[in-house]
Amino acid sequence: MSKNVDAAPTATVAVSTTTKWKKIKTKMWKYRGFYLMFLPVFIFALFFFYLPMIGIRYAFYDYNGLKEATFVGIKHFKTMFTDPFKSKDFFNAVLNTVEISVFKLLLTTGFAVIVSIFLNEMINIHFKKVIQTIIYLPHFLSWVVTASLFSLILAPNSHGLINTFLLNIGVIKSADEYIYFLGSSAWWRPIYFLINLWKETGWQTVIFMATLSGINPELYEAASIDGAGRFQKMRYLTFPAIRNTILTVIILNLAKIMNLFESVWVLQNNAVIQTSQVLETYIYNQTFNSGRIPNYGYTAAVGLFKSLIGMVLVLVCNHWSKKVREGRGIV
Amino acid sequence: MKKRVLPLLLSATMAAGLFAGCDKGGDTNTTTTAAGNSGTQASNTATEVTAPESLTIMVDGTLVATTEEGQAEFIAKLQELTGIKTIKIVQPDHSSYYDNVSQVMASNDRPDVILLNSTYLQSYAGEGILWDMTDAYASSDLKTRHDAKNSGVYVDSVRMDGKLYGMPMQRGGGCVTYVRQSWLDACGLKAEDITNYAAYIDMLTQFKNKGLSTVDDYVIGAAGFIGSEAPYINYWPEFYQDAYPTFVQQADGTWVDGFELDSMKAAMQRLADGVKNGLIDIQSLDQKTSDARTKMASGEYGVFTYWANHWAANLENNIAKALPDEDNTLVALEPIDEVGTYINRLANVWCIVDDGNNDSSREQAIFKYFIETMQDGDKVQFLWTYGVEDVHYSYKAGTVLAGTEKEKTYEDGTFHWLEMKSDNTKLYSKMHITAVDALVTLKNDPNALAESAVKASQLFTANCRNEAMIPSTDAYAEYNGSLITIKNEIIAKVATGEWTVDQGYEYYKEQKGDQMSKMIVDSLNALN
Repeated sequence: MSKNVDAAPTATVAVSTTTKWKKIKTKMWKYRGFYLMFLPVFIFALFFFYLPMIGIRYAFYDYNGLKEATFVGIKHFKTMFTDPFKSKDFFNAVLNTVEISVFKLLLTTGFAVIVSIFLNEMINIHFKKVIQTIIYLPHFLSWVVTASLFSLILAPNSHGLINTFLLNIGVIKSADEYIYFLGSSAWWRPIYFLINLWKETGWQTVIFMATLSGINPELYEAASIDGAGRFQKMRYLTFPAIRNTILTVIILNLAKIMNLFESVWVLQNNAVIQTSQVLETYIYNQTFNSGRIPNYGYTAAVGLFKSLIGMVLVLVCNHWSKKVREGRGIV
Repeated sequence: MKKRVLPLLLSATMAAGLFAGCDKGGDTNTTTTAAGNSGTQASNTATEVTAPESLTIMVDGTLVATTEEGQAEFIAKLQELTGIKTIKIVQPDHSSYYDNVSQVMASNDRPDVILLNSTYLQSYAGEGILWDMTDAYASSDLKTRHDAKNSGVYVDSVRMDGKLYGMPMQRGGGCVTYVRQSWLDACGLKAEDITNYAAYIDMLTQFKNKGLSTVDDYVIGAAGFIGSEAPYINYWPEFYQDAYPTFVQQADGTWVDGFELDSMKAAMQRLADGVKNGLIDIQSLDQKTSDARTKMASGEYGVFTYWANHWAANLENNIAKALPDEDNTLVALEPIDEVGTYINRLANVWCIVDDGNNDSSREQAIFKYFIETMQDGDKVQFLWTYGVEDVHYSYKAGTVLAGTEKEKTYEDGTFHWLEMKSDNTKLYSKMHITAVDALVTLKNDPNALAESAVKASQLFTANCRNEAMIPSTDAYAEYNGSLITIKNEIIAKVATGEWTVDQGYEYYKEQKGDQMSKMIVDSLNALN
């Protein structure tokens, strides 16, 4: 008796599963064209995004790329957090990454908003387009070229544009006082942010300009009739219109803040290593600087930790995004 | 345990083998364990071997024949001369070569032959992935050719426990200090009078006071105040003198960290003084080698420590190009008294990657048809030294650098370099082997190296000591990366004047540099 009682629901589940699969198959066949188009993307993602993730396992192994990997459990994570010689550098890199990334994000986004609003206020359309083109261009320069350019402009000699200017206007008294912007711990970060502003502000204005162009001009006309001045229109019309876009841009970029390498790497040098070392440059240095074959296990562990923080940030940002964008998340 | 002991023993013996090679600074008669005692491949050497069907070579930028510079023609000629049907050259960017080597060797797609420096030779040989060519070499004609030129000491210097895992094709080479003759003349100085540090600093000061630099006052610079790879200090010999920033073995065999010795503190103070007094270009901190070379060419520097080979001629050519109205002659200084000798790098070596199948016939064939032929003293060595005829050099009548001040016409039958494919304002000056540093006498050598390059090379060879080899230990591999970062930061900050020497050493202790250093020193001394 008990056998029959147990068998009935199992059979129902089996039938229901079979029906579900049939429906899915039918749908897949119906939309086979779309699935065919999706296939290359799926294969690409599988091979280039997911397959390499097998390497994550090395975070739990001692592995130098030659000898067979030895399982060591969470040894590398312990080293990262508790080793008296390595944890200090690691935490310094984590702190630097967060500080540099967050400040850079807020600064470039804020500046892009201001520039977008100013551009939006421009009446002469041709002049506006010229300005837009000029400020977009730096985005297309590689970081290597950008670093070379700024090391020339900021050179601590009479060829350096900034130092010569400072000398000419009397801020510095003589050639002995030339400022080594990229070689000074005090100056490195402000200069890094300025270079980022120069390079990325223009590109970030694209999104804000798109939002601004969507504002109904009748609203401005109505505001004018009501006696609103230019500043009041900016404050009460333009800014509220792009507020959601600003939050979206910040949230989307916040998820990527742990990925900071190229821009820091090309501007970094031995004298500013403590203020400029971020997680990705730390991983690189630990991997290739010892003068010996590295233990990839430790650096894989640091990389995995970085990815986990990144994933948490994505989930948190997704949560915020849903709130800000009326239920629409980023993932 | 055996696996760990082997690399350590190999490393220690390799270090001992380094005291051979240069004319000064070591006993040139010293040789390490004689070749031919490994016996693992002895039976195979007698077997007749045929040319491998295909060969993949991994090499850095020291092979001039890049894809833009006639690599296809080079490969075709090499295939023709060696009988190897298919040769593939993998040549990553020179500056990131060892990053690529690490990645490739960690994969299952290893090359057959690879060019390695001493650090990687030591590590990879210790891991057993390089083929032991001891016996193959001992019974080869190559050894006879080396012996004929007394080059055996350079081969012995890369032996590990008597075994040979890589073949040098030339001396390691190093840097000498070049001075602009016109600058010396302007100050009424003679190179032979610059014999000690006081005279050297006086020379720099006179150059500065005379305002000879085209930019500001500084008269000397380099790429970094400390090098990123051993021997680390070779761009600043006069300032570092007897100091060495990493581990050194003392006369009694014990290891110490050179960074913790007074000599290093004095060296950093000399660098700081040089910058403070406006003699040294402070941008040496973060400039690339090419930036430093450009500054030398454009007259910002009158003193520049750089490679003692074809670079002597290249630097002169660059000056001539940038400053056509000025005398471009460079004079290489003999090491000042406090320096004693310049440092000869351990030679890079060509290694055969062991496929681990317990059959050495493939490796034997690669040794015979690739490694041996590279130094055959004949056509293949000529190819590796001068490149492909009518691509890199020519014996045909013709004019090079036409329309420039350097235009030169050659008669039929006279050797001359051709214009580079990527820059027709420059001529080729070598292929891979530097003629003056070759270990085997080359038949029909056109002796095409510029006189200045020959002079610099001879001066260096007569005044050099071999770079010290540091054995590998677990502590070294674990902590030296962090330690190097701390040391480099201190040197940079002291040199640029941000810290005093004492502040630098306080920071060293704060960062536990002394404790990391002690662990490494203890591990090295435990090998004794």
